[in-house]
Amino acid sequence: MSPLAAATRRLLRDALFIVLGGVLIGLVFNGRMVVEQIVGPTPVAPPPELTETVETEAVLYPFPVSFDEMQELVAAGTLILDARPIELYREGHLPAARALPLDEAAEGVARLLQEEARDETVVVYCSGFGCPDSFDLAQQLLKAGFVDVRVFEGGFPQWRDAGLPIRRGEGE
Amino acid sequence: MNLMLWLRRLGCWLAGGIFLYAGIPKALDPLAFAGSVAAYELLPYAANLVVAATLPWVEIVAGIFLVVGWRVRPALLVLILLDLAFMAAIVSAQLRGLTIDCGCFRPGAGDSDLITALLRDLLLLGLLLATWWLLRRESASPPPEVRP
Repeated sequence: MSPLAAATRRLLRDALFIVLGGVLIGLVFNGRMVVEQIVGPTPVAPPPELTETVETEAVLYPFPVSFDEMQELVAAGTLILDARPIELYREGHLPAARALPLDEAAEGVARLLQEEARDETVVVYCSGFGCPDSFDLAQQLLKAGFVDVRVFEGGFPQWRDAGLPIRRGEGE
Repeated sequence: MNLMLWLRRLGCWLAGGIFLYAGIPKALDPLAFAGSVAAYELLPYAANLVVAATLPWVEIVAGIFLVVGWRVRPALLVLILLDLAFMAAIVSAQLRGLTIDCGCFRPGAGDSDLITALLRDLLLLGLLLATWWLLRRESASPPPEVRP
């Protein structure tokens, strides 16, 4: 092997080690987060002495909905709310989802209270991943009196990227 | 110490520092960075998460190698390829008419549009290539004579 070819091989091998090293460190730090985001968090039972506190706190914490559950809920005609800005809703949203942007939550939640029963199941989504709008809107719904509020954390990106049908325009 | 050697070292420190500055905030908030990656609409859902979990660490490892001056050539190669990939993603987003933040430094900062990001990546590519060239020139030149 010529010295040039050997040097090139060494260069490529070292570059590959740098990439693999970075990927490995990233997976060590974030592997659990990646798995939880894709398959849903692992349920952890609270210690007995904390049960009461956790239940009190849980009143304001919406239930997470996995991707599979979300498909069933959509098929069952559950009330779905899109917490993203209205422009994004018009560009594409889940079938039968209603727009309720977080910045219009005050009027939107009040209107919803008049139209829907408080024990109605409500699922909220936004742009997935770290998008906090669905969680914030879900908390406002819980504070307003809705008792079964859930958050689809994968949001619109997971639904769209799975190739499932979406709807454009004003929708419902 | 000659000027070219110091220029090469300066190039390594500057480029390494830029990638550390870009990589650390993204490594600290991988979920927000996943949102930035997803905004490009290039990858499926799970792949966006995997990229967000690992890419900043590749930037950080290669950046550290440049700053400390160890395995400089392979680190430069990795960063040149990364920079080209970033530019391809930005051009693709621009051609599809996406109005998104580039997500280059702080995720979701909204501090730069795509054209600005592309120009910045071009400058960075220039810096990396110039450093690569200085390194080649350095290793091709004969070692300095040792006086008895």
